Amino acid sequence: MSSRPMLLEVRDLDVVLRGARATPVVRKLSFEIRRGERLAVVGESGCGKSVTSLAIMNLLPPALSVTGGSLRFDGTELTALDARAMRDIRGRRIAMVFQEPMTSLNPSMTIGHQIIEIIRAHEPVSKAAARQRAIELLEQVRLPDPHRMVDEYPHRLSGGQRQRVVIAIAIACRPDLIIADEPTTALDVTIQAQIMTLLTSLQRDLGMAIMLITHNLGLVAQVADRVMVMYAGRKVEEAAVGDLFDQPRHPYTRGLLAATPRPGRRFPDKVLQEIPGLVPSIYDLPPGCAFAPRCDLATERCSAGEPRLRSLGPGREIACVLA
Amino acid sequence: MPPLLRFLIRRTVQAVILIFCLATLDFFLLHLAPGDAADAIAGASGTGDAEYVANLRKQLGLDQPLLVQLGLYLMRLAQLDFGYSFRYGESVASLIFERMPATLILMGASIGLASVGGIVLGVLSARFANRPLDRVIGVITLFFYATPLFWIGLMMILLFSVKLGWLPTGGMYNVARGATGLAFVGEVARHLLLPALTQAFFLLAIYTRLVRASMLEVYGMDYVRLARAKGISETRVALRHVLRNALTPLITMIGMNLGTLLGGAVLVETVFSWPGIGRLMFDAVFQRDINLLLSILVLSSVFVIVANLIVDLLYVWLNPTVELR
Amino acid sequence: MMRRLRAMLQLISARWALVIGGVLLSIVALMALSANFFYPDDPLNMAGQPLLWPGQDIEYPLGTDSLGRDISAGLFHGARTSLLVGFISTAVALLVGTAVGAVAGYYEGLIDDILMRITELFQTIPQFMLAIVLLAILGPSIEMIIAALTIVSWPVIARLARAEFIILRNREFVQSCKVIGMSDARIIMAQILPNAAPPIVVMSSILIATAILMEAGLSFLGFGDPNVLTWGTMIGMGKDQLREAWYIVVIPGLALLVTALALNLVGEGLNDALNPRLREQR
Repeated sequence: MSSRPMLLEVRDLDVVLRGARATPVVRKLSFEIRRGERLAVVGESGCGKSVTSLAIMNLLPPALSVTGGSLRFDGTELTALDARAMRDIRGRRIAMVFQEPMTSLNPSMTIGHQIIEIIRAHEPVSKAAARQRAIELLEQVRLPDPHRMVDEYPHRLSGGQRQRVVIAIAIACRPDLIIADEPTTALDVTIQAQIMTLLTSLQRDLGMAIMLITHNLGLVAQVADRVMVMYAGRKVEEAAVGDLFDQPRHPYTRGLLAATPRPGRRFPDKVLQEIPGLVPSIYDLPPGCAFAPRCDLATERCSAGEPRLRSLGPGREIACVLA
Repeated sequence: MPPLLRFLIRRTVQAVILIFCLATLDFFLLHLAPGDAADAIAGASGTGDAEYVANLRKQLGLDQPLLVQLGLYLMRLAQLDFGYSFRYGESVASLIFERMPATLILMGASIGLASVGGIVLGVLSARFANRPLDRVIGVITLFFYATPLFWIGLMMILLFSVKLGWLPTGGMYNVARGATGLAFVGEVARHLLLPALTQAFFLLAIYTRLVRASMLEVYGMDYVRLARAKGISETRVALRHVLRNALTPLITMIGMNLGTLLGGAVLVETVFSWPGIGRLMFDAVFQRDINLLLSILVLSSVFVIVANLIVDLLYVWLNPTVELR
Repeated sequence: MMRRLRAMLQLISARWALVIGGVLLSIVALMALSANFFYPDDPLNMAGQPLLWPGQDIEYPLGTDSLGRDISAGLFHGARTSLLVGFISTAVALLVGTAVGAVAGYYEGLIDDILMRITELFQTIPQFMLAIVLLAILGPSIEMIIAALTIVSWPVIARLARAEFIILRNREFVQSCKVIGMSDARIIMAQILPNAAPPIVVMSSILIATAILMEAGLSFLGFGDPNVLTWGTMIGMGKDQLREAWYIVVIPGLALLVTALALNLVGEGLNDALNPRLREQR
């Protein structure tokens, strides 16, 4: 796996929230995605995983800005690109799937036009050819009756169907990397499974890399090669998916796993254990390890200084003084 | 039956009922006037033909119970018989319909100017929200909203006609010039500019605020973010995704403003001597012609009802998510 | 002391609309209240030499019109009339409109339908035209002007009140009042109304401005009370002297502008002040 060529290299990414005081939302984040690789980014709400994805795409809302670090995509430094060059990358080389399918599509444009729009933005094809491609894409994402669907308006489709359209838009120009930010969170459980199956098979067929952002560890097991766990804007653990599930080292990761129902796994008391306490507010981070207040293994050393990210082997990192 | 047709039929029925109520109200207002209805209709200007008035009394059934009178009156209206004006020497209906185009041109020009201005200023305000430009535009629009219409008209005449002599002080065209064809259109346009601008200022204030709020709301939408993620140009995002969806409330607002516009037309047409129904209404008051007044009122209201129906259809066409109920 | 001053300045700059509007409105109100004190005579009476420019004669600081009437007298008395007409007509429209809207929004069903049809009827008829027709039929007196303006303004309030009541009637606090057997009247007056009030209050400010401008328009056209001098009448009388004595038109017009502006600012200020709390409640 490590022999695959490098695709995305994020080094020491800092993202800051503007305001009376500049508050860090993502702190010195570093990770890599290689071609065709599937990375899952896991963490609770507010840990900075969505912000990271928006930073990569340069789609951060005005209140947030990248204040440090490097984002290298296929050799090109994304932070140094001008608007035009960035637009060239968006959609064509890196695509995104967002969380809310009900509001992700323009209500006054037909499905077909919304797909044609991205095709014609990046490739010099005629409207007719683009329309044909759009129909094929709708077939690829397994939407029924694509010839009729292409002229429909979004409000006639269910959430699951709309998300398929969003995925069709994402794969339209065969990007190298797809960032899927909680793609199934807003959908019913049965539809969730369908969409995840679709994503995995498309990934396999088209050979794209996927960065799957989720708080649901259950999804991670089937879909990812490697997992990165984030907490309070930092990476706290990274491992191959098997290693993470078999031998979680960070107390937070262990807590997440213990709180995740999984068939076949036996729990000490056959009861889900939740992690006590709440995620700290970014305005009010505790000194030292941000997880220490909720960690039952915490010692004085944990509050003394922030634990550095240590490597425990190839592709295995951890930020904990006790692991 | 296709939903669009069902919608159209239902709205038409609603409009007809509304017009019916309107005509009934008109009937009662007519009876409120001093003298009996025949006097009112024949015009209190005293030039009424005695035989005509006697006939009218019989036609209206003034000796019959009220409900019968109402029925007879409504039937007259349905046939577009609004009475006859001896002063002008023609039927009231044709008098009004003659003057309508002038008012419609004025209204159309005002709405057009205000819409273009409103979209431009609204887009700018939204783009630079809460920054100096936005605040300046906000203050300017507040002034436009608070200034009396007729006063602006007079100020415009003072500045552009009296002091600068660029534009004519009133009227629709210069009869003496006798221009035809394209030159005529130019003439009318020159005369149209000041009155149309005068009415446009007030509308501009409303539209700017609406477009600004609408744009800001749409800019925050998820689909705009997805559009950007596609890598399309920011211009296309602004036009096809933001503006297109932000404009639909403007259409509704234009419909809602029609009544205010017609009311304002009375003032503007009087100030600028523009030969429309607003001016006609002004004259009618001083001629104490109750019937003409009421007829203008009824026909104007009918116009508003029909126009709103068209606006609703337009809205549905532009906004496919609206379920036709 | 400095800190208190700074806190006060901060409050003023946050609520600048309310402050400026309030100040301007107070000035106009003062003019209205002191009209009879400074200018005890009828402003319609001839006072001095006609067509004096402002500043020409100390006794008539704002000049005189073509019939020698004192412009500043007209300004002060006009303030009284405008404010009176605006406030009274809006107040009555508030009563009627809120009552209609409350009943329609609370009871829904058939009553709502009927009341809304009536409201809709009044909203399709062009307001200003209706006012003109009413005045033509009922006669041009100040009382009739107030009546006409009331009739023209209440539908807007009714619509707003209805919308508020529809939202609020389904709230839990209303349900719990019903469960304990509170009478409808008490629920409407004591429970829902105080919560529905803020947006209605904000709208009233703007409605007063509209009423004042409409009255001015009516007077300008000559449809007003011939025995009362208002700003609109002054402008109407001065429009023939636009070329040489334009101050006759400009001065009362500015007074109208300032008054309407002040009321709009107060409305906006109230909206800013009341809205954040509203949003929290919802």
